[in-house]
Amino acid sequence: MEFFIGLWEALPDGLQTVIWILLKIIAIILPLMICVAYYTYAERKVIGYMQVRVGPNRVGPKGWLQPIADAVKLMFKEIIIPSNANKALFLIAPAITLGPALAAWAVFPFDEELVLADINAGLLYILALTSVGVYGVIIAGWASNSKYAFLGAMRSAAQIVAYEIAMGFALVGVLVAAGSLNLGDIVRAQSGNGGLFSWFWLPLLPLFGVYVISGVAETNRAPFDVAEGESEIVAGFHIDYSGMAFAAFFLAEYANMILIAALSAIMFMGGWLSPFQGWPILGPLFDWVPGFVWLVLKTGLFAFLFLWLRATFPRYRYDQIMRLGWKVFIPITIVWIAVVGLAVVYQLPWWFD
Amino acid sequence: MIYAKRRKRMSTQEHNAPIDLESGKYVKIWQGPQHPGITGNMALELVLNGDEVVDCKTHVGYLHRGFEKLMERRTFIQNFPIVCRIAVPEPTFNEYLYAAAVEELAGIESPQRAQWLRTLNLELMRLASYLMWLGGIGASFGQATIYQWTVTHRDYVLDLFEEMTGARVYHMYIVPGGVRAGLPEGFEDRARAVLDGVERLLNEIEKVLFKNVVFKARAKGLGIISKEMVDPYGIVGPNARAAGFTRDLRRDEPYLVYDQLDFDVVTGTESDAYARAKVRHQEMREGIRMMRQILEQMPTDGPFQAKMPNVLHWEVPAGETYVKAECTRGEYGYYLVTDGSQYLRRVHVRGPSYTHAIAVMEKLAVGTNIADIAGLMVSLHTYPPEIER
Amino acid sequence: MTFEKFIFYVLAAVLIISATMVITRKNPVHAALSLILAFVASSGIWLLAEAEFLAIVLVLVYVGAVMVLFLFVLMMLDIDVATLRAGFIKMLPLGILMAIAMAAELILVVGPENFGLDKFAAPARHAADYSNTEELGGVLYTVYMYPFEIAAVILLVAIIAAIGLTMRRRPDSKYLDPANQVVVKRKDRVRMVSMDAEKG
Repeated sequence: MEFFIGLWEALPDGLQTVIWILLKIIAIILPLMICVAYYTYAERKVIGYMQVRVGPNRVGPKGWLQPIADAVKLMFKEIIIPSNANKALFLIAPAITLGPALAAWAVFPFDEELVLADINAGLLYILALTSVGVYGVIIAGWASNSKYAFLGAMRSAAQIVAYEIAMGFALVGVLVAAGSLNLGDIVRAQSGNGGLFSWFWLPLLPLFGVYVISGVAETNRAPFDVAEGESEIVAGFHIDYSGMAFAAFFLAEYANMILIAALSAIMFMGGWLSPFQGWPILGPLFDWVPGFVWLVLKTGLFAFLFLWLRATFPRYRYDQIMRLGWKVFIPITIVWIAVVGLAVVYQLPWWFD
Repeated sequence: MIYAKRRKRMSTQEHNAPIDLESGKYVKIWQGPQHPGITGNMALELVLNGDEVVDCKTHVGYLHRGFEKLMERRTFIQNFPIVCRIAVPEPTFNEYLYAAAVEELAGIESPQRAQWLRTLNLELMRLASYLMWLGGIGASFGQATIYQWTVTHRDYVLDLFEEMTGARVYHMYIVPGGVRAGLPEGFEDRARAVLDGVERLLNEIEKVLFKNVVFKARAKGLGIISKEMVDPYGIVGPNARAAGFTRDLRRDEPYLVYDQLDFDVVTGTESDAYARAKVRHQEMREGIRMMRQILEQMPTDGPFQAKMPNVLHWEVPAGETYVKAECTRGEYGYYLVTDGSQYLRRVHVRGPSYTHAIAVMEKLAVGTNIADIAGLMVSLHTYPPEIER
Repeated sequence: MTFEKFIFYVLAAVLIISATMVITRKNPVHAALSLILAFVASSGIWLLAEAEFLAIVLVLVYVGAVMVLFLFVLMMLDIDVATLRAGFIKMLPLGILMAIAMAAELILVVGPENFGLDKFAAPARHAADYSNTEELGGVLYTVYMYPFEIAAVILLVAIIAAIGLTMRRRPDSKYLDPANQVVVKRKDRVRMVSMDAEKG
């Protein structure tokens, strides 16, 4: 043991920092990947029950090993590169999609203390990275040299740009209300004696709705999954991908969904705060629950909502999605930002005083 | 002002100009023959301007199996196992029409009880086919849950078929002169239970699909069949009824026991995809109502098969006949010519899918969005195996 | 060499190589992707200079939105390289002249006598809780209020003009207003007709 401590101290300071950061990154990525794997399992089970089926139940006890079997299968599949595809871009596209989806977690506060990079502009950082993720889709669609993939990429590009604006405006409302771009400060601004009624979802209700719906659109999920619209353009941008290259898109999509769910919990549902904070009897009763548990529960709520939406909604048509984004959401957010601005200036009681 | 004028001129020019694929303004894209948005094996050759379809050509022929020719080389009884394969999801209508045509030529009258059983069989088939279709309309608009629900309930209906006929899909239940068997014991109760289940499902689908904002926004106004289009294009069945016609062969020229049943004709006011779906949704309820009456009024004893000649050496007198019935997609007809031998001289099957899937589809697809092609195709309710036979 | 300097040199090398690739690649999509890489690298350099707001906004606005639309257009264009290069030799002298003029201008303006290291002191290091974003916002909305607002109005005018110029109505388009579509009721679509069967 002492030998290892000695070895560690023998390392230069800079290297120590780098190794320490790398270990922290692994500590975030590894559980995240397991979450993603079991989120796909949850999706198949939840949608299965909604569709009066059982869902996967063959691999392992109650189908618990299904995601692992899927991963093994995808790993051993050949990655077929279409002829006339742009090989370099074709192979780099899944990495470009997956990278930002994982990197965005760097500024995410799991708890009062637990955050990898507690930077001031955390909100901007997340917005920037989620907007970079679209390149994977565009490049995949273009490099595949397929009309279906190309149509999917075009749709995805237009859709993500449109909904990013609505999403950004919704977050502007949050940062006006919280007075900070730091995710931890945003959560702290929501703590109050009203428990769950002190959170931002109530004063920012329209922005909350816009944010969640834009989040669904941003991750290309049903009912906004026109980029892969199965009955229209078969599988859209990833039609020509197979094996691990396809799995990377898949992982990125689910990592993004978990991220959007977790961000909704942070921005509007009080992050790690207890919903009974400050309540007479229930408040002290639930004091022992660690904040991380509340965060996970809230994230799970939104994650379930995404699955629920997928099972119950038909797909929007592309031009209708554009109409919703530009003509409905953006005016709503602009009006409500003005309302929030006034509320903050005049220190509206309960939330902004 | 000037801009407005120039814009207008440009757009009319664009509209009238022949489609030049080399200009780079258009993309040609094929849907099918293998494509999740196409029912069965047929192909649509679409020319797109952006997301808008400017030209649509249908390509059929992937499923041509030459039934009409095959039937000329088989004896009358040997044709039974193949007619039901003409339209895969609803074989019973083919069996009935072929049996009715042969009976008419041979001068055989099927007994009363067989007629009730045939009506029950046909209506069950209609229900099963509509259930599959309703799932298809959900799936084509991206709502996969409906499909799983309806296929589950279709399976219950197929269970009834299995009890009634011994087979789930290709029953060969209706034979010349009657039907093969009567109903097993307790069938009525089990049938009623299945019908109740389907009715509950229909109420649920009403809430989940027909009241859904997204479905309304997608399906309403999609592929409008005007009243003027119905006759020139030979549009029949629910597609014509959705346009406001009250044409239903079960009502207009009743066959079997339809004149003893109480049911309403479902019509629409404007035949868009939404109305076509709604009309069929409502027709399923009427079908359930009819089947309840059949189960109530059906004679439980008596012969279910007429006296038949030796079918192995069956020579049907020379003649010709056209027999038609209202299948799920509209008027379905068999034209038979015999020359007094053991074989048919000529058969022609008139299926509604032919006009709906080719002429009507090519007309309606132009101007719609590529995303709506699958929904439009399904809303017309066509079966490629029936187009080509 | 400190770690920071090492990162700077890596980013600078990536920036220069990708910027060169923007003008040397024949395929316009590759050129646009190189430009995106150049943006990302320069945003990294800005991060080193503690300008985190500018760095993130560069990625957010230019990489995340503007270049997406650029790519959107470039991918749909079918650019014929041969016709683009048709007048290359004929125009070469003029092109060289232009290039020399531009290079000279750039050297004169951003040369070491104006922007040399001795002209600018190294920016002071700030504490970890110093917010570049807040400072920028404060200055933008107080000192530079009017220029900022005027720039915003000019951009708004440009947006409206661009939409006005490109909007055209297509008489043959079957566009439907979703607002009208969603108000449809069952009775608008389905009519039940009770009729007697025709006997015979």
